[in-house]
Amino acid sequence: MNRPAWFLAWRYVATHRLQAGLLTAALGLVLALPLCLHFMVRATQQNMEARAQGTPQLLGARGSALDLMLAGLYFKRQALPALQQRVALSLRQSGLAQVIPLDLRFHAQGAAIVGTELDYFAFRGLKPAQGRLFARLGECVVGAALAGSRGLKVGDSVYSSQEQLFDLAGVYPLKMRISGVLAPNSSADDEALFVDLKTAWIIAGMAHGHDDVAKNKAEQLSQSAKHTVANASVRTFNEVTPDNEAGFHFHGNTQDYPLSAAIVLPRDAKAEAILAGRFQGSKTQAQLIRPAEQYRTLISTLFELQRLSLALFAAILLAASAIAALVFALSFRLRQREFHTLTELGVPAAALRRSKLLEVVIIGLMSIAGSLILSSLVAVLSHSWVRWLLS
Amino acid sequence: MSGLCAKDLRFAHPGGGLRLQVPRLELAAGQSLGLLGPSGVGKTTLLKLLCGLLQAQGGSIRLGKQELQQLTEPQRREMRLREMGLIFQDFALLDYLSVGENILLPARFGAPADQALALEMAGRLDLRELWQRPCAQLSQGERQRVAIVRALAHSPAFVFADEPTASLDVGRRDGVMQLLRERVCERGGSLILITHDEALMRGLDQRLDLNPCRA
Repeated sequence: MNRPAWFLAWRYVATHRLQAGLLTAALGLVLALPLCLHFMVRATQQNMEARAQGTPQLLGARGSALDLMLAGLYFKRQALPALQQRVALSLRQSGLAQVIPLDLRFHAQGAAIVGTELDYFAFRGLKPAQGRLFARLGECVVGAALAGSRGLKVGDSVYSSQEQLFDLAGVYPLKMRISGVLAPNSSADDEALFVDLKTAWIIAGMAHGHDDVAKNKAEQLSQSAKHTVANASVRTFNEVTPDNEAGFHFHGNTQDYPLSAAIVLPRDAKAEAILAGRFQGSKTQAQLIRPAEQYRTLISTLFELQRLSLALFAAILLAASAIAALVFALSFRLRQREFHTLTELGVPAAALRRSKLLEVVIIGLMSIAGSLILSSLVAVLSHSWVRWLLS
Repeated sequence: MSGLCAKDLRFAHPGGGLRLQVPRLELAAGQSLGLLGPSGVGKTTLLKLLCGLLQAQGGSIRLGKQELQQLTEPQRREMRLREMGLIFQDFALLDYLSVGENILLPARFGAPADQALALEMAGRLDLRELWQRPCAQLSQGERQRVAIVRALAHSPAFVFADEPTASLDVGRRDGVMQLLRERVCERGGSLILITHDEALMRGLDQRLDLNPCRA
């Protein structure tokens, strides 16, 4: 007797696709939410943990330690206060640690431009899958995921983004040639674009190249033994080429140039403790954080939020189940004539009850299937979503 | 197949409405009976008593060799499913099923229906083209014909029909009556129907006017 009951239940659900679909979607969504949340939290944890554990210390200007960690490790867009280059250099000169500077102020095609040194690639174990690492001013190396999503390859050029559209005196886009594409390493590095620190300073306008005004009299307004004043017709270069590379120069003392952060790799545990103590009590404008500690604080907050959300989802699930029960009860009441007809035709009462129950089972199974599909999708995409959320 | 017999039937609705008394009603196998009377006199109630959808407060009903009062509710359902064909005034079709699925619905639950026979009868009532169409899309006349084929598809011994030709034109009415006679009476079954159509009534073997029964 199960087959005819299945038949009736299935035909009813199949004919009333819209209503069944809406009910299934609502229940499926409610069932999927806790699972999706779990996968997202797990992906966040996995994404952040390895990088936080693998970075002993991070140097930055005083301010939010969490912001410093999110920007320095995951290249999340955070307006960090500037750290003077001389702080990083003095730390390097102390011999207690290796220091890898980071300039994270600029973007290209929506991705972070990371101004750094070649040591960064060795530290993160990054190797080019195509081409080579940057070797000259104006060259860049692209993360694997960024290259894949934007269709970038070695030899292509990318422009840095104009950070302030209406600021005529602001940062002008620099055309950068791609010298290499990195092999994927499932981290924020996959979504970033790397340039030499000096290239980052060119983007910032602290270094620049232009026509040789000493030779071109037409561009001169005045000339003395020390200074040449040029008129507005002088051309500044928006691209570093072999022809104009020698003409790029820096103004001012580079030790005063700003950094966003610096990765600090202490020589040993003792050096780490000395450095931590030195910055904790110092009156300098810099702070030295342990990313692993910040990560633990962040993740514990995340877990608390997850627990709270799960309690809320349980309440929503209960409410949704009650509403679904009401929907079924009302539907069966509206279909009283139909069940009466089946009774009159002689259909056994047990088969009728089974048919009603099977309708509930079909909707329930479809909801569970829908929630599992949605959750699987979230599980698959969670890592890239988390990287995107952090960027 | 050995006809129908009801004795001293008494029935009153629980609310104290209609009261019905039928001292004796006999219908031999292969015979047809028409129930007459104005609206509200209890024709449909009597039909439901005879097919076991309602329980009489007194008297007895024998269908073939079976005393209806002695059957339990599941047994009465089983008997309706296997041995009776019911044609309801409102057709009682399931709108989410197709014509074919509605006709063969009793068969899914155990009625001994023959799909080839059902298709042949559907053809006679011009329903073959509509076999796959959902019943929700049918006209009243088409719905009535589907209900008739469903009632006959398992070759029942007893057919109870409430105004089976009310939505049909004269040509189709005659076709339906011909089919009912062939599939029920000529095979030794009993046909009990309610109709206000005098022409239809003339073609039946017996008639029972319920007017005097009214309290």
